[in-house]
Amino acid sequence: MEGVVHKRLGAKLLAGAGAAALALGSAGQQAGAAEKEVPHTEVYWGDVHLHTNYSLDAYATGNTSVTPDMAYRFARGIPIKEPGLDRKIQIRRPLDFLAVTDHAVFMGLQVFLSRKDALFTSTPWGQKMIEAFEKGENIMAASGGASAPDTPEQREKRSQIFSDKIRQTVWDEEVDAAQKNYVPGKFTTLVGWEWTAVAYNGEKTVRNMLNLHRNVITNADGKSGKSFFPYSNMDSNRPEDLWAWMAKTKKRTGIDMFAIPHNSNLSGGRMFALTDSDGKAITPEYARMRAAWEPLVEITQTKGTSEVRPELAPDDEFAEFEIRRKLLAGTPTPPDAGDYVRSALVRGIKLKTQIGVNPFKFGVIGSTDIHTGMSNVTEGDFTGKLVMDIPLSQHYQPKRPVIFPDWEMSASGRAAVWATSNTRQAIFDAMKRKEVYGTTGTRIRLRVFGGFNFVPSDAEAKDLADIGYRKGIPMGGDLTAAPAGKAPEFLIHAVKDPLSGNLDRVQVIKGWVDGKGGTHTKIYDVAWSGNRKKGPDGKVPAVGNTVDLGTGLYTNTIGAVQLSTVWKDPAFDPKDTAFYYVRVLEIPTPRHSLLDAIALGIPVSATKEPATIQERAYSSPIWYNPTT
Amino acid sequence: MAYIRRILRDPLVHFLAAGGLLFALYAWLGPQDYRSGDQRTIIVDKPTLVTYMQYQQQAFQPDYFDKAFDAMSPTDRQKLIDSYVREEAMTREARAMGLGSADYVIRRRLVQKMNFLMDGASQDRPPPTEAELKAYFKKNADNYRRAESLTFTHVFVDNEVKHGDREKLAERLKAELNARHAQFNDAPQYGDRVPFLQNYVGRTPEFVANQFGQGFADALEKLEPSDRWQGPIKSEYGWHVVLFIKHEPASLPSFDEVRQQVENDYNNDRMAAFRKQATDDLLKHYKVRLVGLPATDKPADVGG
Repeated sequence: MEGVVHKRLGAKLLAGAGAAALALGSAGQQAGAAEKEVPHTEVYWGDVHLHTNYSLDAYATGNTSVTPDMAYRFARGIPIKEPGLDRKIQIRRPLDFLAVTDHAVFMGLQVFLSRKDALFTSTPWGQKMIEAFEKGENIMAASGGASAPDTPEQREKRSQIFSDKIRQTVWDEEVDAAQKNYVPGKFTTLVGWEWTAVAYNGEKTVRNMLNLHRNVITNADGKSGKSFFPYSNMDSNRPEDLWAWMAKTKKRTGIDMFAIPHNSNLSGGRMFALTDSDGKAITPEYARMRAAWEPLVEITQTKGTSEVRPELAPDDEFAEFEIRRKLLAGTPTPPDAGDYVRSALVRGIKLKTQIGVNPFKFGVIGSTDIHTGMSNVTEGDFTGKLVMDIPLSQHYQPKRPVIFPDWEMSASGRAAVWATSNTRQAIFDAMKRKEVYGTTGTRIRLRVFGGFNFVPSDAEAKDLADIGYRKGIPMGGDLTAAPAGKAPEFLIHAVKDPLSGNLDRVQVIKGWVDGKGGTHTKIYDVAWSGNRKKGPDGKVPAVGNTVDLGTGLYTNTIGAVQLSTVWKDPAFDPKDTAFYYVRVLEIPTPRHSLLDAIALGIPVSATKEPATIQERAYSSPIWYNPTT
Repeated sequence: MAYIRRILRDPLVHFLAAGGLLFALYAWLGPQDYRSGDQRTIIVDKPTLVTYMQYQQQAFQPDYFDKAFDAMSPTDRQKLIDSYVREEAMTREARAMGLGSADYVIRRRLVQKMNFLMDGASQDRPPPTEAELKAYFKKNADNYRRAESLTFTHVFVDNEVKHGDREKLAERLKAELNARHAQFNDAPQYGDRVPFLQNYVGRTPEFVANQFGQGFADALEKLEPSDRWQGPIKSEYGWHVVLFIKHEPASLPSFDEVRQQVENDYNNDRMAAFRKQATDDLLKHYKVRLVGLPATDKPADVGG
């Protein structure tokens, strides 16, 4: 079965120009309808990682004007004033949902200093901070931050400028902004924040900072959201403490929540380490907590790809994609299996066979981590991660030292959610059950179902989703022990983004643990455009490239509009624990750095970045569990 | 009331309101104000000092500062009194010398206070009646116009599926759909699987063009809505037989649908109009004479 693309059958179209045409696709549905209720899900597009001027670092890098309210309004399609420029800006494609996730630590600090809020004028340290702010001093440094030494002076300062009263007041404003912009059925806002924890690779310096950041997403509404204030890395840098806090807060308030780790690629091997925060081997209790409180991971964003690094996957010819080989502050970081989603999924199933629980049983989404308040991810609209990066000259000859050079940043990503409606609870529930996927910004529509009873024609059905739900389970779910003689099958349907490139191919990435405890991964091309034939290595040759490097234009003369298939694992051992996820690649399209180079009249080589990229979608995995 | 409560919480409002009030009081009481007494006496009491503390800290929480004042040591209180007395004396001297009358910061602040007083007066007026709102809606209809929208479903012949002549096939499909009187909701049972949406209900032409190209959207817009299947229309993805049932031109919503928006706009306009009227009224008491300036279109004396 492998590699067979089922051509939709033209003969069915008119059913011999006869009476059968009306019956197309409906018979099977009726047969199964009584047994299982079929959910009607639609894909909704959003971002669950966006910063505004309420984030300490966003304000410090030039975003003095875009508030949480403006960020929500921009995502809804309403024009706002562009930060740093005297013009309005409007998103090209509004989002369906958004979570503004400002850093909990010193949230809103500069905004409150700039308006001389009474909460700051009423304390000595608050007044000092206002003076520092007015003199234009570095407020990030002046705040002391979470990594400042724990001296009595620092403690006193924190008790005044990061008091519970201040934290609650700032937070309530964030909750109000979310609530004000919630339009059930049209636009969902999720109340959330970023827990900006770090570890250190040796000495406690900025250069050695390892990224353990998580975004916390809740189902809170405008009222319940104010029954707590966000947990920060000032409270603790240990993920175990964050999970315990979430459990405690959920119990107290009834608000459900979860954490989404991001930029595991910058964690120096710590994000998916085999040990806990104390360096001890992962226990079943740790694994249970982690799996419960971290159902999702952000696989792509502006600071690069966290799927896999080429050095870790020499057989993956598409792995060299938006890879960032630097820690947060630019220190080079070697490849590490603890940094990437694919290797973490492998570690997870291996741990499952060893300790009985999989701590890394997560689905994936993409989001931006943009700090301008403007969730723009198309290559043509990308203005960088920070407000200071918006001017084009800043990309070419920066006047100020740049932490995240624009051309090194990715115009990415998006969270796609299969939900029953565009409401807060429905979006939240879909994320919790991992029926979600991530893209690098493109809106590829991707359905994936796993089961044991699909037939080849299911791939051609018009009610493919109904069949998928009826005969199988959607992405993010589990398959249990295979019936005798059966192997897992996957019903996959990918449709291009109408405003982006055609599709090149659909791949299934399988990871498994064999009977001896050995771990493996394999990539299968399962559907592709045109008449390409697989080579001796089992790989479909490259699709080609239509991008005109002089104009930055491309044509959809190659690639496919839709790709669908039923793929059956050809090398299945029912005793092996396994996972499968789907990756869909577009044909090459221009990268934002090429468009900049054309605008500036410089050679694209000057950007030191590729001229074109293959945008992609990553599904959440489906796990095969031989015993449970 | 909600508005009043909101403004009472706003420190800027406090600042301006308190300023405005003092200004008005001063004008009313003149030099006989017991607090100023004669020009050479500075009277200090607790309310004065608590207010002074709040302005010093740019923080307006009377309860908090009331307590803070009571908790002060005698030394600290004396310091506060000294500081207040110095400032008051300096202010009186500056006023006496006429400083500030040419200071643009002060001038702007005064203008701001005037505007605030006017806006407050505007807010005190009774809310608009339904008739007023309706009249306003009618007069400003263009602001509430809705975008053009299209409603259709389609049966699709896919370029990526092996067919003979796709256009002919689409023609045959159209004939069959019309012969069977196929309805809007029957569309999914015919043709190839559609790539994006099956039904487009109340979508703008831009939305349709984003999915199927400008050519498709233009061709569709040229059709008359009908209960007959029409087309086929070509897109970059294949041929589409369409059931185009509704073409709503840019339209005006009913008053009830946009009532809240109308009321907000009405109030904003009324406030601006009131402010202008109040300023115009003020100007009636003034004469303006241009000195050493070239002639303008308007007469130099605009006042009454």
